[in-house]
Amino acid sequence: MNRDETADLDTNRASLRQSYQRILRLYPRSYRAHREAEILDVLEESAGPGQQRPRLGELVALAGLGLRAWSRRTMSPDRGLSRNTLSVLAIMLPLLTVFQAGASLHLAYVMRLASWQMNILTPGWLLWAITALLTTVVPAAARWTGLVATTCFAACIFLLLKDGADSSATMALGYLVLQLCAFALIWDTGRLRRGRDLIGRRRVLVAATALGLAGVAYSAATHYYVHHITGSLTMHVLPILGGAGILAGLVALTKPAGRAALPLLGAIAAAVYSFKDLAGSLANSGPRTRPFGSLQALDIPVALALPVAAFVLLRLVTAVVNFRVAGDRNAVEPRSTGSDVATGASVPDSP
Amino acid sequence: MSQRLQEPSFLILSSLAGGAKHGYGIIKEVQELSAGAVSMKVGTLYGALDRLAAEHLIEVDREEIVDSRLRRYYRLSADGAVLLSTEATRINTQANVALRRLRVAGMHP
Repeated sequence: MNRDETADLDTNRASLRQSYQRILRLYPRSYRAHREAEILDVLEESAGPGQQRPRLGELVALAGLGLRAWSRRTMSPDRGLSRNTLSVLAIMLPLLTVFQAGASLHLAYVMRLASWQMNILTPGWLLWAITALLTTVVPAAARWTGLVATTCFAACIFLLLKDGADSSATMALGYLVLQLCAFALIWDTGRLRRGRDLIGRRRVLVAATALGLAGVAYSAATHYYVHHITGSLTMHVLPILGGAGILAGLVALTKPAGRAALPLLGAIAAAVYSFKDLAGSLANSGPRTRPFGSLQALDIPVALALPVAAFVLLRLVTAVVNFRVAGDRNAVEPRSTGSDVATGASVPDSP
Repeated sequence: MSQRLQEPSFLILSSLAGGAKHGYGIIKEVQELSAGAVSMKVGTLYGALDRLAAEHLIEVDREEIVDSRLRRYYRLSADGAVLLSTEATRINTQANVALRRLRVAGMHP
């Protein structure tokens, strides 16, 4: 082999290696740290003489390997991130109640004593709004106000059900899912302190104010709509929770744990909707807001599938955001050293 | 043991039963074992290696640097050897039954 042929081979090999490196750059960082050098070696050894570009079959197999690595990385966050995720969620779930507290307070003001069913839940919501503020100001007190708020809410639901299972009662049963989840998370004050440190007290207070005002604005708009256009008084769960979820999600979107919390938040919000709808079906009264009408056999599967679908969808969205953030970070920071490939250990929870 | 092995995993474990090998060594051996019928892609190989390592059926034997490149050698674990033996026996038994019946039917010499 003469010198020119050797030079050509070296050029081809370098070009092929760069192509493979570009593909492997799309893999999760932890996986690359463990496997990249080894896979590159085998890819180069497997290449045919003079090969300049990856073959289609190899590209497909590498794409499959990357997808599996990402799915492992996405679906199995490490223990530290899970702990932070629950901490962030412990702050975010009570924040959701502030939106409803604002809406409920406005509705109580507008309705005054016109309808006791519409006003009876307001104290429970207000107590939860206070709890949401206490989670970052006095975490040790939040669990007790949360307990009082949830008990008060449950007692009011009992009164509503006693009076007849109308839409207020079934919706309140849905909201009780949210409150019980929030209460379970805020019971650990250490978790609340960690969540406060991760998100920042000021950010929580700003978000609480924004959510409360948004709730008032939503209620005002809905009130105008129902009184002047439809003539009936119905507050749907989905726009309330969806809007509040987006706002609460923005609070922690800049943190890995915040992004990891969003799918859980979405799943809980969807569970509130599902449970409310299921309660409505069981009581066989109140407005039927879901599009499945008479398909009773599907009620329970649909109720279970909705939170799962919300979780998976938001997990995919946050995986894309994480990928972009990791790409930005890699562009300015040196790559970290190896980590466990089977678990796909993640980066620490840095801003 | 009720665990079943897919063909790529079976071939990888079979190749490692002959001694520790690195990725390219496994690919070559799998091609030989399957008489050229299976040409394993690198992406497929590492997907299988990840899975087999997670199930503790293989383990890292050693790492070498060859021409400034990392080469990691894998070996069959004790669990992997048991599973491979079970699976090979099962396949062998089934194949024997099939051949015996074909012979009785006069469709196999």
